[in-house]
Amino acid sequence: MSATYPAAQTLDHPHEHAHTQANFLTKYVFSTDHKVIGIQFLFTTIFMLFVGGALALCIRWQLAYPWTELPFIGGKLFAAQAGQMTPEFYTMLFTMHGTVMVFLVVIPILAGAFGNYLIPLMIGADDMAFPLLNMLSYWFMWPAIACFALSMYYEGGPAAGWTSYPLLAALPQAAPGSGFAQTLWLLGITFVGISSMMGSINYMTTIINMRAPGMTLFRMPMTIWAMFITAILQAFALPVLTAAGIMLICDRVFHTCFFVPGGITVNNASPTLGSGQPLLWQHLFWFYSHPAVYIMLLPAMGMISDILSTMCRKPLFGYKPMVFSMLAIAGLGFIVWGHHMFISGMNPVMGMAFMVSTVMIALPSAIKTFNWIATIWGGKIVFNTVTLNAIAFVTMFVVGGLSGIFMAAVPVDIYIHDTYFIVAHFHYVLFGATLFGIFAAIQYWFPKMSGRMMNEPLGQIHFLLTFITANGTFFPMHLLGVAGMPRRYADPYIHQYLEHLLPMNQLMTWFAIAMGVSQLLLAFNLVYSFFWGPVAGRNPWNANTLEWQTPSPPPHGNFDHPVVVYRGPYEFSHPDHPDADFWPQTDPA
Amino acid sequence: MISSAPLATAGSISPAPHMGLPIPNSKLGMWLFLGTEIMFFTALIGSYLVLRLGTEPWPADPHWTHIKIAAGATNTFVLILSSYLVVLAHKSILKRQIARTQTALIAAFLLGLVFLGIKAYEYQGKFEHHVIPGQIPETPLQAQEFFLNDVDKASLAWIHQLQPGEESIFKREKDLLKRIEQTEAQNLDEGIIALSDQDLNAAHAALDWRSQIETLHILAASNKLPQTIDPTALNAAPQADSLEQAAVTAGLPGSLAWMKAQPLIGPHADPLHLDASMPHGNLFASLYFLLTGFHAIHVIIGLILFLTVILQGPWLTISSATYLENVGLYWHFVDLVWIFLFPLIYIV
Amino acid sequence: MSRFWCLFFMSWPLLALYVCWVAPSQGWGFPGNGVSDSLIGQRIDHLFYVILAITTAVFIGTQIAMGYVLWTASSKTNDQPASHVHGSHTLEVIWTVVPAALLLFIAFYQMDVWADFRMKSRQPDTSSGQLVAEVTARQFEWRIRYPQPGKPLDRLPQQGDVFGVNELIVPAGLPVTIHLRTDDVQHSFFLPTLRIKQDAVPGKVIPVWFQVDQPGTYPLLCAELCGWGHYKMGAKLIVLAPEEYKATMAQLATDYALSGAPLNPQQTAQHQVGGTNP
Ligand code: HEA
Ligand code: HEA
Ligand code: CUA
Ligand SMILES: [Cu+2]
Repeated sequence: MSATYPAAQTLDHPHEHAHTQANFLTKYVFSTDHKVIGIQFLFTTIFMLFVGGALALCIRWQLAYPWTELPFIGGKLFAAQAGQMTPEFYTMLFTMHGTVMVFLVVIPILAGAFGNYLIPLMIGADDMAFPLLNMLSYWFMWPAIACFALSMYYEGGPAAGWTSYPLLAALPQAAPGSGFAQTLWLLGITFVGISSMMGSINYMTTIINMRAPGMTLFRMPMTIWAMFITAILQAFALPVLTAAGIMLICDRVFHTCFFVPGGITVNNASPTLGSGQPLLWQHLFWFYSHPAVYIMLLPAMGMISDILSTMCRKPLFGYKPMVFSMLAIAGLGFIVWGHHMFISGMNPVMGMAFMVSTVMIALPSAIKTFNWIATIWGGKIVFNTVTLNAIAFVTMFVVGGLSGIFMAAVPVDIYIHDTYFIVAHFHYVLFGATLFGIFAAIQYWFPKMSGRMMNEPLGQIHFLLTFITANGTFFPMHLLGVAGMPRRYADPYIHQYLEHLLPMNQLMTWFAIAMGVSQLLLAFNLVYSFFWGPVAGRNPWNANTLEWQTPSPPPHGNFDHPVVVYRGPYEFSHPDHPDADFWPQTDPA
Repeated sequence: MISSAPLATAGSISPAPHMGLPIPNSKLGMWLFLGTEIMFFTALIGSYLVLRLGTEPWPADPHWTHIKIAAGATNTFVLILSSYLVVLAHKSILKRQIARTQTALIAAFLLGLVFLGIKAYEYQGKFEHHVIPGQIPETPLQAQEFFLNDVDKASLAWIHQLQPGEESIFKREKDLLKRIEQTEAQNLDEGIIALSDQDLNAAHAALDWRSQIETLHILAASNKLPQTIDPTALNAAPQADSLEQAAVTAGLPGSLAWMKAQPLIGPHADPLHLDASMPHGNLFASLYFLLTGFHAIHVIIGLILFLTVILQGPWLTISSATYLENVGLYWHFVDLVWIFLFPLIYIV
Repeated sequence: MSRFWCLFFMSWPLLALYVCWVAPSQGWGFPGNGVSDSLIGQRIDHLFYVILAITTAVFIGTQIAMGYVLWTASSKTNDQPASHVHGSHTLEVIWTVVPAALLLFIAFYQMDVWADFRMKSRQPDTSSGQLVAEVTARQFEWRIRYPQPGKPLDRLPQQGDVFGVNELIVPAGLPVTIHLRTDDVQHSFFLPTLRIKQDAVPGKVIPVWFQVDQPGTYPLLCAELCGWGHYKMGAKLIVLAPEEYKATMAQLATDYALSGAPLNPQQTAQHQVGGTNP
């Protein structure tokens, strides 16, 4: 690192760092530094993971021991009913569980936390293109969180599922929680949308315009490609949800009728006026939310690609196919939304078209899966916590993806739609794939963020327990689904043909509780290692990408020397470079 | 992209000093933002098309919709002109002609206000004729119900005026009835309320009329109109110019004219639904206000952005050129959206 | 330790396969005896098993590949470097084309059943009295309206129609069609043992057809979230042999007329939404 570099500069972002009088507030709270914002996102979302998890545990309790006293909190919440939860509380539980996990955990942890922290570092920029916007994108999370939290307080809480289908979500008289709580919920979604929109514009601009000299598009690490494509998806799909949400709010508050047909009498209220179409909401919602499931996956895919390559000391197999398959997922992702609506009464011919596009979206996923396996092939693997979580990501994604194929087949979906098979599918992709990807990423980049390594034995125990308990919780859901157990049921066992599933559900619940407890290990590990972990140094994993070529944690402005990029990110074990099995992107030799 | 050096090459290539597009971040950001805005309006316009194409018949009679093509066309022209002025302003600022820049911008700003003014005028026309989501009867029966409801409200309001107090309107109304009965029966006034004979008669008439309306209302709701009223005439309401006329033809005791003529009730009878029913009227109104409303919000934001430049007055410098250009981009986008909305809403 | 992890990753797929293998015998498979009670359901099951076979093969394949690469990659000694390979064009082509073919096969193999279930042109004809009832979902029960015996079902309630709640009676051995609608929010008409499901959408009337050969009673559930009582919106599908069906319907009609039931029970029913426990 001794050659003289041409100054890394960007067109209209001169190096003027006016943060001279950084007090506590501007440094850690209202900071515009992407690293601080990223870490703020990380803490908030990990906290939310526990909130969402706690809600999940309440769900599981009800499914295992229906109408018995909810441990710890039941006595206080439902004093009048001997601590047993009410059906509408159950509805609120899974609605908020889905909402918290999707909108406050997975999306913001991937884009908000890792996107923020890694994008400037990995492309060699000193910060985001619009630091102030970046800060706002974090702070817009809080009105959303406030809305969601408040909505739980109002009677019944939002009670229409995270998908919020009208009319249940459109008519205040339709459910106890469909009153003000549902409006608050919709407002919360709108705030999340604004936050993500600001973030995604920032990411796209930064990645397009602020790369260090030499960082051509095809030298960008997969993480950056993934974040870029995710940002595109967010920027162009999310406004549709925002529009739909606003229309639904109007239906509720201003008596418009976009989603409300006429003459509907709910709960003995006077008939509705209008001639709207409830299915329109489903189209708009899924037009966003299908791309959203890839928003919840692609960044993890990108990070796993980097991690696997580094941990196997081997170049990523098929860099360009990996990039193009990701682009294909994003592109196809916009034309498959109808697979959530196969039996909604939509035109059956559209069902066929959506089936074909849906199975085709498995193709780029297949390409990625095979390339990951091929990346490990012939490598020299280091089995540490990071690698373990990354491998779990791949295998669990295969399970979740393959169950997606069942549902993509329309006739089969007639039966398994809205059963636990669906719940199994999305927990395998969301927990199994994405969350394991997040665990891998947390432990991989923790040294960069904190300057200290995470505790290895603790990490491996956490992995082992989580892997076993996650499979123990979610795998049986496939069987429940095939057995015909519908989702969103507070008490399935009142139906005689489902009675025999109770023991299975109890087993799953105990696995879920164990999984919850295992997560405390992660929390403990984070706190412990932050203060007492071994010091990491610049590049503990001997990785090539730019973020490892600067101190840990990086200083304000990110790099202590100007950055120039000379090669791609995956030059491991290069025969022309025998001194080390890695060859940093910045090494001019 | 500017540089396309091969992927995995060792050795030193001298990299381009700047990667990315040769435009400033802010402008790139603005373009991307407009991309998200396009998707936002695509969703709105798409919903409009889906809902409209799925609705037969679509309310298109300008007599009822109060769509004024002339107003819309004027607005289109106004926006295009202001867009041109913004271009002019940007050109001028690049030439450091600050005065010219500001003049053009102020003109564009004023045109924006004109747009909003015309919009407000159109909205007012709709409000006056109750083209408001959730307030439009869609079937003759609903029209009748709405009418009766309104009459009910008017007479209640009148009663309320006769005897103001803190109690609920309904209770007061019953009280009044009772007291009037008492007054009549005992033929004395105990100072509870001092009603002149004329007032008393009017009150009687009104209450009488109201209770008839009420009965009719209840009967209509349960779909059993009395024989004395010709139901076909009521159902013919859409053909008649207004439901009120239909009601008169149907022999309803007392009509709107009667009500309006009453000096005491008249003033309360103003906000009555008089129009015939309009199938799918609510959907029309919902979509109209959604699309034009969101466009208007964007116009207002644009005007605020203009103000941020205008308020710099003579101190404006060329360093704001990029900012002004971005504002201009935004304004062109607002213009463009209108160019889509105008034919879709006003003409087709 | 690395051996342990390799074995760990290789063993859990075996466990998963084992669980799936024993599942049907433990009652964790399709409801009932595992064979669908309707013909279309049996065809759906067949498609399910076809996909299951393909995905199981893919699952085993990827897990074996994963186990193999993990094993070899962790057996490298210190002086053996990792291989420096950036990719392989041939391999990319192979693993694009083969899955693509498989996936397209899966997709096109489905079309027939779907068309039979939903396409108008393929649905059984409803003119010959096989349009048996109108099923109206509402919070939280199923309202059934049968036409007067011998008469066709009209879109609007007619004098002489017979009403029932939570029991749908249909004849066995014939393809029967019901008209599905909802009075309030969305619901979904779900016959698990027949593998049939269709959402009820406000403002729409959707025909659903099925055929059950074996007389008996089958569960009918609601599969679309419709409020707090969603889970308890259960009902029965009662399938009767044709003669018995005729007799029962006639009996119902007379009973109904005698009881002087209202034209539309919906106006009399008391409904309350709100928090109570079962
Ligand atoms: C990260 C999130 C994520 C991801 C990545 C996916 C990926 C996929 N999903 Fe999933 N999905 C969800 C999250 C996700 N989904 C959620 C949250 C829901 C429920 C929402 C709700 O209703 O609440 C849902 C629901 C859902 C449905 C609706 C079901 C219903 O409600 O009836 C369908 C239907 O087609 C579907 C299909 C698919 C498919 C085909 C993929 C594909 O992309 C998967 C592709 C991957 C593979 C197939 C594996 C790897 C490939 C190989 C090893 C190659 C060889 C394979 C073959 C030849 C078969 N998903
Ligand atoms: C990323 C997304 C994500 C994640 C990680 C999870 C995680 C879990 N989910 Fe989630 N789930 C969804 C997304 C997710 N879910 C969605 C979108 C739905 C659909 C909602 C709908 O239908 O609308 C759903 C629905 C859903 C259902 C179906 C409910 C129904 O249909 O009736 C069930 C049932 O078992 C369930 C269970 C679980 C469990 C046991 C976990 C476990 O992994 C959780 C493990 C626990 C923890 C990680 C936290 C540990 C917490 C503690 C130890 C307590 C300490 C507490 C504090 C400090 C506050 N989920
Ligand atoms: Cu009805 Cu769920
Ligand atoms: Cu999807």
